[in-house]
Amino acid sequence: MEISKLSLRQAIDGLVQKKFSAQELFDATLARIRKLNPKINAFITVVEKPSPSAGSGPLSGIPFSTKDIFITKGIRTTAASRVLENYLPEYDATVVAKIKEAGGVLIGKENCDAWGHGSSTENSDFGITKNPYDLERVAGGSSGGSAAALACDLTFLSIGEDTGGSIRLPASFCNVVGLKPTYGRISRYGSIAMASSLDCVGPMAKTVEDCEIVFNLIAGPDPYDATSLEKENPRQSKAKLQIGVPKEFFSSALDGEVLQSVKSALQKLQELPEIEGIDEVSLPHTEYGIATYYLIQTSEVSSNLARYDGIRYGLGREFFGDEAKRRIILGTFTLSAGYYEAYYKKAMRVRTLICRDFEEVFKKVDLLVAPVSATVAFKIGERSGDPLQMYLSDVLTVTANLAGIPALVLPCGFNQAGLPIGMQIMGPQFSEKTLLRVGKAYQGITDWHQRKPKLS
Amino acid sequence: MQTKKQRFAEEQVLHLAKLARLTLTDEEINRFQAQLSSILEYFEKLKELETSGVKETSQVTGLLNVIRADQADEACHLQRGGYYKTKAIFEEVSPTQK
Repeated sequence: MEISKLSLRQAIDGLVQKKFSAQELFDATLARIRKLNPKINAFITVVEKPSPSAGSGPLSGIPFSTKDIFITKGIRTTAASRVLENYLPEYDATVVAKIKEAGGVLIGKENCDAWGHGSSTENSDFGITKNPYDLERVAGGSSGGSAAALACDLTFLSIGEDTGGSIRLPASFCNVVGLKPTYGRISRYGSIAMASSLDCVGPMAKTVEDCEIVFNLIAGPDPYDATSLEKENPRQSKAKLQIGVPKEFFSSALDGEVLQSVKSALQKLQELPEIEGIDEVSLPHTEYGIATYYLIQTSEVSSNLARYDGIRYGLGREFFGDEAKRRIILGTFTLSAGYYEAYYKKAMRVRTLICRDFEEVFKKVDLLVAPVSATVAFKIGERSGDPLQMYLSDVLTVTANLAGIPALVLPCGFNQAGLPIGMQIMGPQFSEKTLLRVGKAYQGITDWHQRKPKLS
Repeated sequence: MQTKKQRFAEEQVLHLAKLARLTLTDEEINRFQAQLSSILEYFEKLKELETSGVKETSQVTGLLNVIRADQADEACHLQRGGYYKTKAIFEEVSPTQK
């Protein structure tokens, strides 16, 4: 079997058992990138010559990649924007340092929507990333490059970031696994900031087991990130879990085949010994999620992007793309005198209501299962002409960011046209171990995640 | 002639662009005005909710004033003549990849 097609778990075992060498693994992966990347444009930067492994740990010799918003010492980091097209960072992001310390070898930086602004990876200044299952469709965003690279076996793990769905949406469009952890669970030090109260760094991988390996290595408080923390989850060792199905996530807007796949997944989950039962629950403020999210996020974006002055590093502000400019203007407005109360403060109050919805629901159930997107991957250009239409792609993902709760996305089916459908499992803050446990169990009795695009 | 009152007037877009140090072309001002107006219109949805008495959430960690002790990390610095000597943060970084 082509060794780059192995899962992370299999690759680690293969290296330990000396079935192949780290050099062979790197060369095989690089060869695959050279062959397939031109078709999908998943990478902005490819590292041709591996740096010698910093550490020798659990990921010794494993090629890894990250969304190009994590700074990597000596390797160009662009945030997919021309503003940073030649930016060479002086240090590694904490997440990158941790993986390198564990022995990981950086193989590339993946394409994304510039600054994380988007749900399709069409907003990149370095070209669109195409969906490996249908090259005329989007890979999802903003971590589209990461998802597409994993789908085509061009990397063994990727670090993404999810502010409003940016790990989960591309994972579901490209048939891979993505974890948006609890806000603060993984250090944001060295990740190019988008919206500081919403940004969540997270692992993306081929299987839930792989995702768990990475999560365990990179999670944990960091003295360089004052918002990072870890807490005990009182329900962690609960043997039998109750699943809640939030009715607002299953509206008539949901595509019929997506609904069918998630319903089948729920039936499968019910077969698992760790699942007690399934209840219908309600998250009444779901419909206000997009307005709340885009209001708060653009406000924080306008502040975070103020640092790009073209004086100390990078090019000037005239090199911002359309979407960045739109969000900066919107955010400047909502924070300005005379409008701050009506918009930003109002949104912060609705955010409290959304948090309360989840708190209430988690008193009755342990987990929530829901679709990730109302549709499968849409066609390139279909939503890019209308910003609001694009924003509405995130309707099922944003509330988890507002509440800071974790969500795991994994494959649960395909539509008639062969396009992937994912589902998300959400839990209370710090319940990642439970999500991963259930996800692994589901992948033990299904094989959606093993299907690969014809392209590869 | 506008049949519907645009939420963003042209002067407003220009004013905000100036505050945010962005330069916009006439075409951009025109296009953004329409797009931003429709987005802002969508935000009005929040007015449907009664939120008086609801506290704002600015962050979800519950953390407050995360600080460390005000002590120099002796391992990183050398004392010399009443000063601390330390390594430079910025150095010429030659790209490890072209």
